[in-house]
Amino acid sequence: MSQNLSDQEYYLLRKKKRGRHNRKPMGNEAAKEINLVAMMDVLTILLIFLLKSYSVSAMSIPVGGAISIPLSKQLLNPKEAVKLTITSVNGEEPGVIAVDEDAVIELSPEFLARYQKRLQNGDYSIKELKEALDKKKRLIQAMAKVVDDVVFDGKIMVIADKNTPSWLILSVLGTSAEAEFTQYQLVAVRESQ
Amino acid sequence: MSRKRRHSEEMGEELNLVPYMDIMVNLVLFMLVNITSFLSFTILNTSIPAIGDGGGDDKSLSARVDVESGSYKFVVTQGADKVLVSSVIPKINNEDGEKVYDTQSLLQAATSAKQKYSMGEQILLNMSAKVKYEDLVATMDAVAETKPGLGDLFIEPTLNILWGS
Repeated sequence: MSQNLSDQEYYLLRKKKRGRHNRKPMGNEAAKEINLVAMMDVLTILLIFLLKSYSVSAMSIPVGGAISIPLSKQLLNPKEAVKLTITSVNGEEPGVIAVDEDAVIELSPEFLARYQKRLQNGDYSIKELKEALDKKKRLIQAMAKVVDDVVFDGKIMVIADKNTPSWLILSVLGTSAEAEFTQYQLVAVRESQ
Repeated sequence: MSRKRRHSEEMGEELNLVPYMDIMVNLVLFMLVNITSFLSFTILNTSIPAIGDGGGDDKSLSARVDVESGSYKFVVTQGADKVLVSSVIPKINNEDGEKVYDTQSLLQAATSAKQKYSMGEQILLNMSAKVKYEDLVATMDAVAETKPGLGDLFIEPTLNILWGS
């Protein structure tokens, strides 16, 4: 074939063939040359930011429902404790009092009226809550016998909606004291956020 | 032989980032799903009165804030009934025209009492039954401020309920 073609034509044909032949490998090379470094930078920075946020927001609110936590200027970090949550009593659905993930009491208007009257007569105790806290205390004490790091220190974290009446907070704290949870931490959102 | 060497050198240059990328993408997605909020929380330590409290000696000083429905009342007493400071701080209008507790004036009253008298860090907060938790936290914040030269004002609040106000 080369004999019938001039040198110029032969050269062009070879070039064309080579071009066709090399098209695929050139595509692969282009794919290999995508610069991943910039993407890696973004991902690494995003990961570090998320890890930092994860560490400060390790405290989660264990139950659903309407809750708006008040703001505070304090800078103390929450410590591991039993979580006692009081959701909004003014929402569309009645609020609840929960111990960790378990809703213990539904805050119906009848319940609120009954216990406010009882507190007025000096009776702090909420029976259902005391039973739940006693159960929790026994669970922690049983775990403490098996696991060295676990110890029952009577710490309780109160996560309450900002519109909760203070008599209910006092009633909950009084009941916690009966169940030997006497170190209270009231949870708020840092105002500097 | 030389071809082999060249091939291995090329392989060495091309660091395979794909598995690393896989891990990173999975980690980022996992964290984005798990982080429910970017809010950071804080805590306020408190206590409630124990049975038998109030048995201090006659010369001991104690501070108290009565959070009533319309005002604060800041009181410092010596012993059982000697009142050293008693100031009523009424609610003020905020920018939206709503009546709010005057935490700044309470802070001033607490600061001047702490400057004048040698007192501990305990304070009794007598809350009116219907005062909102939000106001309770704001009051605790105001009396627990740190002042230069005085340190923390009152960082050990004890909560109590005040009926009938």
